[in-house]
Amino acid sequence: MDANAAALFGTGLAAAGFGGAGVGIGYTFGKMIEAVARQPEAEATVGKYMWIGFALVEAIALYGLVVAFIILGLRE
Amino acid sequence: MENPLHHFELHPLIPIHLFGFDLSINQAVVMMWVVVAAVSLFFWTAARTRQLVPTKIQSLAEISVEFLRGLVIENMGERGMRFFPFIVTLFFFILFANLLGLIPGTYTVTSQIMVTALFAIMVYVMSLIVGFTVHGLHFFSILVPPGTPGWLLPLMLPIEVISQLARPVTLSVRLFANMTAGHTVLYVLFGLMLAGGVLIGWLPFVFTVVVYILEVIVAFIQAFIFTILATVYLGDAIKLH
Amino acid sequence: MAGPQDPFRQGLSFATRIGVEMVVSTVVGAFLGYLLDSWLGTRPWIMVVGVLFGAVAGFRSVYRLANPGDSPEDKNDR
Repeated sequence: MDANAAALFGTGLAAAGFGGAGVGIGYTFGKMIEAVARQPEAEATVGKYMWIGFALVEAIALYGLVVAFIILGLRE
Repeated sequence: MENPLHHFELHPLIPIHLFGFDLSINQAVVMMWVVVAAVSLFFWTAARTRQLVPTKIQSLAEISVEFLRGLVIENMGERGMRFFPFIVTLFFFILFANLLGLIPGTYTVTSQIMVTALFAIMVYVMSLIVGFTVHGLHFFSILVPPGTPGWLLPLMLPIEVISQLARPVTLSVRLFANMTAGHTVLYVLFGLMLAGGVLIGWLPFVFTVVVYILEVIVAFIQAFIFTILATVYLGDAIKLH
Repeated sequence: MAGPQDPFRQGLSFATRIGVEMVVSTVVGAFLGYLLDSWLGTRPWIMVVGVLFGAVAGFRSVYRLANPGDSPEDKNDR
């Protein structure tokens, strides 16, 4: 396997981090719906923290994307 | 399937080379003219019949301008109203560029990082100029958040410098990335539909429609966020803590 | 078009703001460290510190958005 192919593999593996982000987004929204179903009056508070959690999960996915782009950029 | 980023490439329609600069007219330039014409047409139709009982387009323009006015007052105060024309222009240019770019066959100007970066740098440099003219050298205290204990200062200073420098980058990258990603997804899904044929091609087509609706929402939201952050940055420079 | 007080639109704008802000802060910190490194010839140490500072700056922007009133920047997201 030459270096180019290895870099492409690495890019794909870095992009596989999106799977984790998918799990995180599903968990965040699912728990939010659960909490609101139990306590509908807490929707405003829970919603705010839900969006923070969502944004952090998204940031993790973007870190994966940045790593993928760095590997693609280092490829000769 | 060909490279999904292929349709973001620019090809010069009328090559112009002046004084060593490449000033060729390409799709993006033409599209920007179309956007300017569309915004002008929108406001011209809205303002042509200035009635007490507004027409539909007139009330649409009035509502959006009123909304932006609230945004400017909220984030920049009454003194920020002199930037109101700039903010409205920024918002409508980005919004129309996003929306017109969604029509098949056109080009999305905001998917070029040069365009969004120019907007972001313009906003940021403007906020720096405003800050230094209003506050003088005292403006450097924007790097020291209020209530910082003295021993934390050497740590907070680089952090604040980084977050200041990150402002124009985030502003440009957010708009550019959202537009590019959305259009790439649409392209890939549409390509899957064409490749899938009649038997299974309807599934990607349904997703294309869903993503297209999402993209319309994203076009509005990204224009909003760019405008909100522009007012926040300018307001930071005016108010300074 | 939803109004400014619509919690869903606020949440969505919030989410799109934070994700990019965190990542870009880190990248900007790393880039500044890289520039300082190639200027001072101390690869890779300032870059490592720059990544740390950038990550902290990103987390700080999240914190500021989550706690309005701490700084004037978040008056719009309440």
